[in-house]
Amino acid sequence: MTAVVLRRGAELLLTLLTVSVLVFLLTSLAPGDPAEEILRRGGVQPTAAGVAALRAELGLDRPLFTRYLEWLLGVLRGDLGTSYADRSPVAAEIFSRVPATLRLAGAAALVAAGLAVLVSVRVTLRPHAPGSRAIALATVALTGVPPYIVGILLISVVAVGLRALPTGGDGGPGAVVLPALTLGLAGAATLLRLLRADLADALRQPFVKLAAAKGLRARRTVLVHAVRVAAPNAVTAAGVVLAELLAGAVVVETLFSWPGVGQLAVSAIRQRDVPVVQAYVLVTGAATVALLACVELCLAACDPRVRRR
Amino acid sequence: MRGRAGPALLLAVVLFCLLTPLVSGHDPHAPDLARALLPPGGTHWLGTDQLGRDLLTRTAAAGRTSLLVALAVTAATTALGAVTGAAAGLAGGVADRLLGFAATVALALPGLTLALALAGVLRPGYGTVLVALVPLGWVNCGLVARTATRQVAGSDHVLAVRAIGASRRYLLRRTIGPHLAGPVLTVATADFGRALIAVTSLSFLGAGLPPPDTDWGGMVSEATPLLVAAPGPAVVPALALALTGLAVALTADTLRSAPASPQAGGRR
Repeated sequence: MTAVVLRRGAELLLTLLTVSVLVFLLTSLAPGDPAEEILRRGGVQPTAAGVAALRAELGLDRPLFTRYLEWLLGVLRGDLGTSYADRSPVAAEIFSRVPATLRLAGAAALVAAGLAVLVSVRVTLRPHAPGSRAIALATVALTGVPPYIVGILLISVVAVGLRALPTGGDGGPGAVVLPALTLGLAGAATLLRLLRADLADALRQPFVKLAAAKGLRARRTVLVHAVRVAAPNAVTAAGVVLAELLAGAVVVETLFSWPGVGQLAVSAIRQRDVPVVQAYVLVTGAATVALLACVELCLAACDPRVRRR
Repeated sequence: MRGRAGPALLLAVVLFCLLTPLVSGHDPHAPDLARALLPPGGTHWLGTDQLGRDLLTRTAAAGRTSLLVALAVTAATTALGAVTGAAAGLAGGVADRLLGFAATVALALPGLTLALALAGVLRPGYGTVLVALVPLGWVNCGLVARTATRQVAGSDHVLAVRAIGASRRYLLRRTIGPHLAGPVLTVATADFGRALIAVTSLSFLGAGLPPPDTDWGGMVSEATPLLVAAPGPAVVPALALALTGLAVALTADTLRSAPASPQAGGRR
């Protein structure tokens, strides 16, 4: 187990470093000079002397590698830079919006997990029921249709057509229902596909035949025996889906005006506020990488075969 | 029956997108504010949008853009993935490990987020969309091509061609290449679906193609603020995209579950 933790830890660090390099290089990819950009946004007509002074103040006149190291040290201290738009610290802005995104992703995860577990067990128990084919079709459809399209259709039916729920914002307990359903349905499709494959694998094991031979009812075979075998894989599936939900939140937040991190990033992109975009990618990227590493550790902790790999 | 539904639906969508702008008699980009937000009927079969543009023609034109850009992205990722995957699979050793590491990093990164950031930082345009989506998009195809290459590389007929002194280039093109066609086509179809989602999502978020070259995501994004008052301009492109996504997903599903044919490839 220690070896697994060490190896995964090293891999995690390497991936995080790669992410940080990519994110840092984003700023240098941006056309135009950041100092000029800041001056222009401050309402100042940029002069050569003014730009040079600001470049020196921001440290932009130093070599790329030095700037990367300083930026990385700053990030490790929790300093994510300052916004072009209002020159306020980006970290405070991002972290004030994290709770809203986590609330949305959490609610969506509940939707996804609930739907996927119920449906996968039902489909496995009765593969030829008429509902099962419809479910299979719906699963395929949900993997092909982007979440914001599902959201638009949900809004126009539920919020506009039936006037049942608010179409956006974060006011009142009903506001989370449609965004969570939109995001959760996309997650449910992925999770369902993974869970069904795992359950089908588990049902092909010899002990299932034994269970049937000794007269165990199908329901008990699936719910007690097969589910237990499929459970470790479900941990992986849950990790993959959670990562997908975090990344997908940006679209759903934009559609429903949900005041989360993703909405901040999109408005920053529209204003070409590079530091905010950079911080968003760094935070989401690091969260995803860490999440997937956690999943692998959980897996190693509960399944000895993974440890020996 | 389900096997043919996907390709048939896809063909119908493609024909709709290509033919409608030619025969409708409306310009998809010409605004006419006097005729804004008309309900369906008359010469505007599906009504008009907030700037008075014909919704049907505009949906078809935007569809053509969406499909073309997604196709360009898929062509690039498939070519890149198939070549690197096959080369790494055949070479083994360090090249193979490098591909493995690149794939691990790429799969751990939040793809849409990075693409969004790239597209947001660079100037909007076709090139930017490609730059944003190709660097992480080739991984699926690369991994599939690598696995398929490894499976074939050990077989007797490849050994025989090797034994008579064929170059690595010949091996890849003539001996191994035909065996990759099936798996690569399957993954390319799935990748096309993902590219379509990614391209339109970027436009929906305002980081995709600049106007007037709108795609379905851009149309939906423009019309979303009006969703409560006039759902048409958002719902029509949304439905078109949903149908296309369904068609691509069905096709990919059919290809995936089709039994691997023994003579995959054809030309030897």
